[in-house]
Amino acid sequence: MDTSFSDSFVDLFHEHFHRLFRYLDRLTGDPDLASDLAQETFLRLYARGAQPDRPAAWLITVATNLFRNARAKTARRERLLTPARGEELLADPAPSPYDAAESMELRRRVRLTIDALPERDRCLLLLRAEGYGYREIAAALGLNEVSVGTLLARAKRAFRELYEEEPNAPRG
Amino acid sequence: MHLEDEEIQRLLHGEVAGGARTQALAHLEGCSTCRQLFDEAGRDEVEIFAALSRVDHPVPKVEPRLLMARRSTATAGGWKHKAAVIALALGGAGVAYAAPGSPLPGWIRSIGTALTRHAAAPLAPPPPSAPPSTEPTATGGIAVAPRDRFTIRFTSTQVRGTATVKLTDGGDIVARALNGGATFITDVDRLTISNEGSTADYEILVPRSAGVVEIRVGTRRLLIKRGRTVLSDATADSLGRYAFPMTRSER
Repeated sequence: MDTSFSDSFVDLFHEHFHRLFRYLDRLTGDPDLASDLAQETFLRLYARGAQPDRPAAWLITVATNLFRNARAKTARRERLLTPARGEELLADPAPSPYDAAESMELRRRVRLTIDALPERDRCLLLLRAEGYGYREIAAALGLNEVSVGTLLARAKRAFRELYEEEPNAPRG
Repeated sequence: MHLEDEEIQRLLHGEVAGGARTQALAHLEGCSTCRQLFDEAGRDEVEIFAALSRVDHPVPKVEPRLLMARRSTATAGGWKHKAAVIALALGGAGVAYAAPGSPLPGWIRSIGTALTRHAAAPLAPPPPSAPPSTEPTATGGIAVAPRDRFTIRFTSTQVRGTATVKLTDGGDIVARALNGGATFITDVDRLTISNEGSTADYEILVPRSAGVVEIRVGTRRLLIKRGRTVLSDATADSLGRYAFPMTRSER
């Protein structure tokens, strides 16, 4: 392997791994799976042997495709996508009684809201939350770049509506 | 003629440049309806992105050289090498999760505090007193009510990026990551911005009415505000903004 590519691979890793992991972590709700997918994405980059023209777009495209494959192929993913996952979050060890229970409930609501979004909205929102540009997002999700802003506005409205509709939500 | 969703979002995210940007900003200046929609869109996004960060888990420690070794050994096909690398990888991951100082317990605690603010009015927009967005490229952030003494700490220096601090007439401290990502973790008297690996720029709005507010990168102090007095190595520009490079090593 070319030494200069090895060096640029390390640079790309340091620049992109954290936010790629965060994107996948929020997308899957499973940090182990997210870590596997993020590492697999970088393994594929390394196997490619050359830096892509647009590394960020390449990485999120591959990562999103790996996520889709993982979801389609494994029963584990199907299980994770069921509402029961939210209840698992409530079983996490709590640091203090009342506040912790309340925060766990709100974490559960956010998780359920993310999972309830259509996949395109979910990916759009999560990629934007990590600061990816419209060009990269459009490339990764197969969208027309000129409509990314409109779709993003709709995704945010959908998130808010679902969050506020969540049936077990505590009402002020 | 008002701005469409597409234009508002693009303006918010710095996705419009040149004459189109100038034209859109000029429209915002003269159209209170669009200005309100733009400000609401900015606040809405900060709220939603802050909500998303509530489900985050700690980022695993992964060494790129280890990945490269994995790829090389997989190609070579030596099972002993594979076993050794996998064991090393698993060990590394385990240490990362179990290591003292792992952010997980702190995150859970701080999530509790952060979410308590939202419990009464989940995802409700900030009160009207919240400062309007002046920089249209927010990609994540949080608004918190300052206590008498409040600390904002970035966990890490960055390979690039700038933090800009501005005093405002608003009531909340607002921290935003511009053109990049970071995780915002609030506690009663502090805001931790987990920015390892990030290359974002940041904007921090500090109410003039706040008591003591200190901003740090790791152990390096960028600025401390005590009442009306601001102490900092940086000098305020003509708009009253203090800019700090995120790249400097800690003292």
